[in-house]
Amino acid sequence: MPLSEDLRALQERVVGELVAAHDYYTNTKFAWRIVQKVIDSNTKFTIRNKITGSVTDQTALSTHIEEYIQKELAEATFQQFISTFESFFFDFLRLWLTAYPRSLGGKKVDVKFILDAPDKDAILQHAIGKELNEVMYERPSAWFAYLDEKVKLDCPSADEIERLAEAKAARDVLVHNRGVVGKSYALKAGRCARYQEGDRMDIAEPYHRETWDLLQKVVADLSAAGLAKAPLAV
Amino acid sequence: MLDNATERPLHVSSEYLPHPRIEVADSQLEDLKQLLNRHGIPYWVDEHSISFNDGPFTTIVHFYRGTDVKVVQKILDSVD
Repeated sequence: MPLSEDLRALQERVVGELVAAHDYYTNTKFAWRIVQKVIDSNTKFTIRNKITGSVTDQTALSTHIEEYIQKELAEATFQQFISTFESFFFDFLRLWLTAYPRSLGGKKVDVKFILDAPDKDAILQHAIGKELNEVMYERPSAWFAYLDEKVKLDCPSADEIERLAEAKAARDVLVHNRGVVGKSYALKAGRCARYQEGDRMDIAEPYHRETWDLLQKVVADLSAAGLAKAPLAV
Repeated sequence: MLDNATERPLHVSSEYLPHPRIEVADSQLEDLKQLLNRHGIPYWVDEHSISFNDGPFTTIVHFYRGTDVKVVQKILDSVD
């Protein structure tokens, strides 16, 4: 498939995933609000979790609903947004490097792999995978510097990259440190850092929405810029 | 401040302490926002409102971590 078609398909898939994730957040939030209304109307019920042994009635569930919305749901969907964007970014790079393999430069591949590989494409994908794996462990600023080196797209802006770095740092706090801000958050988040060491990371809804908006924009901008540079489909 | 629908005082709920909240009818939202703004209380408003069984649409006003629930409740109670 021509690069332009691949880029369009990638954009469509990722936008669909981001929209679905936000719809899940909104619909689930309202599902819980509806449950709260049911409880408020004096409906009684008991939930028995056979796996954990927990027994929860309407009174107990009511005490958890806000936490489930504001913390569990917000954090889980926020992490999903970031993961979806990371997947988009590296798929974008993979497509570009596949279309323009000479931009890999002097990347080395083991002779054993070459001899075992079924075809040239497998060797290329292996080399691209190794390259992107190294980039993935760098900070977002390095990701975009790498992208810029391979193809000058003039987006996202420096401010957007800093905001992306902070969002990723926030995700890392949730995933790797049980939501407690450590030293590395400030280093990763830079001037966009919102918390200090020891604070509890909070994904309040405005920030949740701003991050989603930012990711949508960066996906749209990178896709448009990539399509403008990609050869047209024949 | 009274809830127009129930005629009961608006109440700041702190079920989830990091983010206290008030549920308010859409018809009263602007009045509430003006009151909070006058007192310099930061908040955010849910982007969506919901109506149950053809009742009035209500939305949630959320407060940020560290907001003093007692202070906000006092502000609400100070208004007829």
